Amino acid sequence: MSLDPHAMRLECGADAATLVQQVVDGRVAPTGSHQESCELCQATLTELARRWRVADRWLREPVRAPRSLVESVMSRIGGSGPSDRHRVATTPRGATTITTRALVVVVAVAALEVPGVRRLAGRFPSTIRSRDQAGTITVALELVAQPHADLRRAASDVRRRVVADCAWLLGLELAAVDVAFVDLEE
Amino acid sequence: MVATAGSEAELVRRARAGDRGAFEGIVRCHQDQIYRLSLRMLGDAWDAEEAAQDTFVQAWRRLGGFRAEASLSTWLYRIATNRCLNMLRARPPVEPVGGPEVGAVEGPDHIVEVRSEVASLRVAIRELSTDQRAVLLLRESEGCSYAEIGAILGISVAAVKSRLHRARVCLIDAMAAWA
Repeated sequence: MSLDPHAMRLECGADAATLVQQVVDGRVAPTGSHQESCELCQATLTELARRWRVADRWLREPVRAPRSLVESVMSRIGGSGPSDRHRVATTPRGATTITTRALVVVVAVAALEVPGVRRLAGRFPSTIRSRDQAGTITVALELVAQPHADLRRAASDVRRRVVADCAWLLGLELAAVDVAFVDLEE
Repeated sequence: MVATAGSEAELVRRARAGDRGAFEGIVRCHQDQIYRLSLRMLGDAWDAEEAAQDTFVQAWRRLGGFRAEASLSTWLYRIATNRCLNMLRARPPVEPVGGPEVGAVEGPDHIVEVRSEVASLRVAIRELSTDQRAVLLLRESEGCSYAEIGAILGISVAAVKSRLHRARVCLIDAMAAWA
């Protein structure tokens, strides 16, 4: 059975939109004298209900927001925002800060230089997350690995390289680097 | 997390006065619904989180202009829908790096995914026009009334019904192989 979105009526004269609405509302049993005596309407209702069930199940599936959402929003409205700055040094002559943007660039370049890493998973820069809680900075990144790579070793190398580059290039000490390989790709 | 109408009105009143704690309460109440809508509109978890964040940040900035005749949910849906539509319009015509969509990559994973009914459904939803997608999700996923959808999208109830019917029929057609 093929339903043309532009077709307003079935061959029997029934209104197609009414039948679709009926199914979406969960009223699959024929209603009214026409539907009760019309085999086309009954067959259409049954078929529509079978097809709609899949869509309905998915559309009503619960989805939870990521745990970081509230914190990110509150950080942004607090004025620090996604381009917040990390303090890396304070001297009597002034403070040195770096932005999250600079941090994630360094993290990305460091991770991509590790053997076995194919690319970042997802879009840059949002695929790399950083969190600064009272000066304790953690980084989390998702990566795609090359097939046959030793993932445990690659993750360890990424962690070591990211920590070293952040310390060397930015003067920033990372408390933790969470590495997740989410896929493999040639 | 659900706030009663009274407690929500109180949270809004305090947030408008600059109380960030009250606004955090609003974000906690509505985060799942705004993220869910964004995720289904955009089909990408990273983009969805960005859109949800932007929605709440914009809500905080515009809270002074919020009129109580619309529900807070409807108002937030309007901001989120506009944000998602803008993001969809700004998307390049190529597939995003790192987010291969169904049909973009050949391989075992691809075959498995293509064979799943949910993947077919996602493709069908992605192939809807953005306006149809918004109407469908606001109605079937978020349970908004026709009038609320009309207010969110700035269209008439008749236009809501028409777009909704077309979107439903497109999904029903796409599900023919899985029924």
